[in-house]
Amino acid sequence: MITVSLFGRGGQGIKTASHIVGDAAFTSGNHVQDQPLYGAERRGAPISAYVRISQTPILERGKITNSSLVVIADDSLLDSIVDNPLQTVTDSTVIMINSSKGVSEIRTRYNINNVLAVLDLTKLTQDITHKSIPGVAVASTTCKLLGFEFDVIEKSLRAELKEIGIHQEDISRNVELARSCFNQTTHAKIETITKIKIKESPIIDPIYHHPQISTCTITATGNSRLRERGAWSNFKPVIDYEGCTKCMICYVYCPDSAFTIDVKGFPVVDYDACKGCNICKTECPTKVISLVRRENK
Amino acid sequence: MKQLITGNAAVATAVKLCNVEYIPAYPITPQTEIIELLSRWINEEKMDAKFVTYDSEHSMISAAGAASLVGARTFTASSSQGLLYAFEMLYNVSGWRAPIVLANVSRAVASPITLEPDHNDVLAARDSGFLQIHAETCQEVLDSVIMAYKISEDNRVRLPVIVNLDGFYLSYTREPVDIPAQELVSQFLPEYKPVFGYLDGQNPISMGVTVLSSNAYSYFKYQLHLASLNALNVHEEISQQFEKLFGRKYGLVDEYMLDDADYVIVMTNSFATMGKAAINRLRGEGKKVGLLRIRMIRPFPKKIIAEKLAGKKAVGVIDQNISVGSGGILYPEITSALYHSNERPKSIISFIGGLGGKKISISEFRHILSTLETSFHVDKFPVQSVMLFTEDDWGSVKEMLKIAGKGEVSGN
Repeated sequence: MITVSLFGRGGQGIKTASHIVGDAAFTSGNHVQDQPLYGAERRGAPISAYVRISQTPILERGKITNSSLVVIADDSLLDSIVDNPLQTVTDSTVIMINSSKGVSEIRTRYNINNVLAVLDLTKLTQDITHKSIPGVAVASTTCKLLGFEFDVIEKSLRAELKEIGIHQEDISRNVELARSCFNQTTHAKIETITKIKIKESPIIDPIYHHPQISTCTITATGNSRLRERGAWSNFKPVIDYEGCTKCMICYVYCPDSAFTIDVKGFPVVDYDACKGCNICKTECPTKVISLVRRENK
Repeated sequence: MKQLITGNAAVATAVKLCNVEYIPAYPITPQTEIIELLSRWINEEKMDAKFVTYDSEHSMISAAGAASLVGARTFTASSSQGLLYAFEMLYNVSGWRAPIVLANVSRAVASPITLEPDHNDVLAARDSGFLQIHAETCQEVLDSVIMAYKISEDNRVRLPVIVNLDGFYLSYTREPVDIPAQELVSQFLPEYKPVFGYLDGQNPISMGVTVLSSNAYSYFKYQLHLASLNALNVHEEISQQFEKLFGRKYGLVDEYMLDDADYVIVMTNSFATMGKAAINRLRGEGKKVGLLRIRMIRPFPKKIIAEKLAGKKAVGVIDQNISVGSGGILYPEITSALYHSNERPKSIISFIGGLGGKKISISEFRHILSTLETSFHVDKFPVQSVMLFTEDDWGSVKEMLKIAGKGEVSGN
């Protein structure tokens, strides 16, 4: 069985990417099972998706514990201990990362010795689709690594994007993007997981704890500060103050209270709190907010 | 034709194939995708049904029962807190003998609040009069909804049915599903045309009436019980018709490597797939172990369970639920089904696992088997349900307790 784990953030098209990969594998004659996993759905929050591909019926469910291929659509996840996208990696796992950083920098920084491909899929996506949702680029690259034909990928992605209501024009651009990714990627030798490495852990007999401990409460205050929310976004809003009318609409609409107003009445973004949701840019009546890619967070 | 679809889409597809006419709805994760799909298909005129969103699940179930009693084939869906909020009306709808089908997408019940599955939601409804079919795969979900209407509308039964599927593990998981042709489904399940007990302006009747006579109450309540028990045979009969048309067969229980097994693990729902994988692994290590999955939970198929477990050395029941202060909910039902069997296993042991969607690991399955072996060989039986919880599980909880401000927790 080939096991593919995809990691990204809400809004990057990871669920759709996993469906495209699943469809392509299914159309190519395999048994397939795929499943996205996210908690409370939020733009920018970590999401994972799992695709199992097999010649025989699949007797597994839920999260993948040993991956043949790990695809990381957002390199900021690598810095998060909680979301650690490398936790399903074994010695034979092939890893693909969407990043503007170089291969050697990534190898050293995250101590990766596996077969590794690093591609700037976000830039490619922006150049071709004029949008910043890398899902299709991720899907196409993954399918190429897995050895699927391009016409199968194209058919899958057209069907999936139509299903979620994407306009024809955007679908065509995404097909172009997929083709470009397909041509830039080489086919990798992906190992079949035959024997799953399992960490056995003994069963314990839980004992009673005082209600102060065993009631589901949080007594620590302010620990959300430990989580740098700014890491959630790949893009940050930049205000052109020349045209800003101080209308404060961005301040009002920001769902994360990332805006403050300075002494002169201008809005200021706190980039540590901004999740890059794009709402301020959309709502700005004078269109003076643009999104700029965050590099080397 | 096989398609890759989620468990939620399998429910919606079955509802469409069954030509359901009325869908009262209220959203809740992980069920919402079902009603989203149905409302979309109705909007796109791919389906001819009336879709109404209600102010709560309580109103939703009331409307479902009422619609069914004016002669409309009715479907509704819920999960977890939603099902519990509707609770009072579940008992009413079954008492009205309204043949609705309700898809419950299992999700553990608060508090603490969570999204992933266990069966405390659906099993809370076990005494309500609804029949309960619990599915393991997306294919079984689709097939069970179709079968559920046929059973429910049969006059030997005439009771509402819950079809249960696990949140996430089935609801959002895509698997290849064979979608039957409309003509075949229509042949299997003809149009719903009740000939009695429904509202007709020309022939008025009173429904949901009060009985202040305890004799009458006893009579009507026991009739519900008899109707439910009838479903055991009706299911077998309908299952044969289903197999003839669609080529897939479903029993009241599903067995895996059971015939020559000395030790048996009893499970329900989608985690049984992981159980089957564990059986394969343990068989590879030379252990004679098998699995029994109970598909029909209400009526409870006591006779076939007793037959299937007769002559086994020991049985472990995994309850993916917890009756606080008692233990596993299904364990006592299985034990009592075996009490009068001459060939009852030497021990039947209760295990609690998979709460809040916690995966049941191979270590846990191994622990079950070794507990069963010990019970058989050295007469050692745990008095309480055995919790399936590993040192690693506790390690991760300890870490969370620390972040939550509880300090270093010792013990375990």
